[in-house]
Amino acid sequence: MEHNLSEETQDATPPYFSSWRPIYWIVVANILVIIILLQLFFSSK
Amino acid sequence: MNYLDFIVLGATLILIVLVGVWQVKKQHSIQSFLLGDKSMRWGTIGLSVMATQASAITFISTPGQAYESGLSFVQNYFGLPFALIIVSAVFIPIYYKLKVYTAYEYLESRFDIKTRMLGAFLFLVQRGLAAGITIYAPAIILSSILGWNLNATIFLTGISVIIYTVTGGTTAVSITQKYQMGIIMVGMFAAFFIAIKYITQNIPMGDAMDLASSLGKLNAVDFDLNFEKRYTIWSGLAGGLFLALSYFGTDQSQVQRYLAGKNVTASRMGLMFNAMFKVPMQFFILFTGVLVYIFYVFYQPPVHFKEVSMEMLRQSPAKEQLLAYESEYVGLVNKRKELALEISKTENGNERASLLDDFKTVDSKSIEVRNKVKSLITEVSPDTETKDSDYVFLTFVMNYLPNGLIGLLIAVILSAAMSSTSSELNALASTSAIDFYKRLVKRDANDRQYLFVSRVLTLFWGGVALSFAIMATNTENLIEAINIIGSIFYGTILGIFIIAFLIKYVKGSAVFYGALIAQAIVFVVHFLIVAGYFSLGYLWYNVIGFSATILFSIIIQSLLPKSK
Repeated sequence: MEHNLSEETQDATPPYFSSWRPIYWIVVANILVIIILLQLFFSSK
Repeated sequence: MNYLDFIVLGATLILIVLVGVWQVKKQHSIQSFLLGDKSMRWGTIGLSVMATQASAITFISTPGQAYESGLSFVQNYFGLPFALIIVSAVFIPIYYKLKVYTAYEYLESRFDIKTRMLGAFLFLVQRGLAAGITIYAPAIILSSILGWNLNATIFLTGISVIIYTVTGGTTAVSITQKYQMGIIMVGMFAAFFIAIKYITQNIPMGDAMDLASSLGKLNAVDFDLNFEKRYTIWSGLAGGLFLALSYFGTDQSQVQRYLAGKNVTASRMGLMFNAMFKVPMQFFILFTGVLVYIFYVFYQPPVHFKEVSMEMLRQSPAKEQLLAYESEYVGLVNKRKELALEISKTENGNERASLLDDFKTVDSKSIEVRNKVKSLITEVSPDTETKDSDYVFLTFVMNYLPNGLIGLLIAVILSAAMSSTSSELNALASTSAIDFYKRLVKRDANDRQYLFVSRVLTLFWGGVALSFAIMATNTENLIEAINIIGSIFYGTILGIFIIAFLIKYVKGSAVFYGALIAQAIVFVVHFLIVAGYFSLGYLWYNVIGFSATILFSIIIQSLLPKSK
């Protein structure tokens, strides 16, 4: 199969999160802050 | 609606189509038509991804949902940022490295041609059906509220989208989506502030929030580990992650949006933009719905928001009963308003608490009357859908927004319908052009021919979507049917991709047959449920399809000789 690049593809995959960037941490912090704010101000008292 | 609304609406639609058609000059190759010459900046990608996901139903139904059950629906989006991080870190680099046009091309390089065709085929079936509903669902609500002809509304939206999607390709889709998101945000902010303006003419916002809170409308987060509850933080994180991962990672209508980025960073930043702002945006729309509820504490709402059903009752023998319910409802709403005004004047904590309790009791009584009217509708016409929350927000818009803004809000709904449909047509065309035509029919055509075929295929899928929308007869059931169809296929597709990325020793044949078995199991489960053998929410189809694909692929791989 001339289109078969499977070997190359497999080599190209892990380690996935070696590319962890600051933006990912910002996003995680963002959603956690949102959940905390919602919990503080918008939940049954 | 008056002439001013029609001018605003007409000008908005014409502007969008012109901006889209303007992109025709840039379309010289299949790469420019399907990937926008990979030149998009992250801002355009971010808005385009957001606009693709936000369909007209998002803006019609979401405020109505909050009107009925408060803010808790926002939890469904909590898993989304995490899914987008996974797509950015894992999916995007691979798609870029292999220079694919469609997500399914990757499946051939990882597995084999038959697995690629299976993935592409599952996508075409599911999206081909959904594209019709994306146009049809808002059209039926708009036509019922505005009195427009249903088919004319469908044609207006459908033809506008087809014109610019066929001529301007993916660039036109992304650029128009940027404008459409702009219109949507301006319109929604306008509705938000007008609701606040009306409320604060009666009571201060702080008191309004107390009222909403006493009715449980402001409970956004629920940590209860109860699986029978529909929306909790746990179902939101787990279910939301799962759904968003298959949608953003493997659905070509989204993959195509971020593959138009000029580099990996642009695509990632576009998705991170959504990871940051999607939850606040949904919160904002839901909060607008809560404000509409408080607004209707002070301004008499109809006992049932779906005017078509009310008219049917008025023409039926149940007319007298309806009048009785209506006057009971008016009485309760007046009582509720008096209590709300009194609460606002009361400083004393204990007195205020007891008034809030009364307010809550009267509110539940008014909901009971609303439910009685729904039962009456079912008695008179058992097939009529009694859910009226989809009509709440537009009824508010039509009756209380100033002229000009009504036109803008209708433009918001049509823009949202167009932005989702354009991505779907664009994705259906690229999948059929790249995964089927270019791969199976004609491998060595020149670029002009592929460009021509892509345009013809966009037109073809536009025609399919339009005819499906015209032939559709019953919205509510159809929307559910489309969700069911989506859930039937999504689990399997995600399973295939997750094996591709994470379970390296599973090869093409194993995953192909594993996926077929999984798909068959989901079908069998679905038909057993339809036949009444047992009951299960259709969202579980995703889980079954996903787990079965992974399980059977691994089993088959371990049974096959090592070389396969």
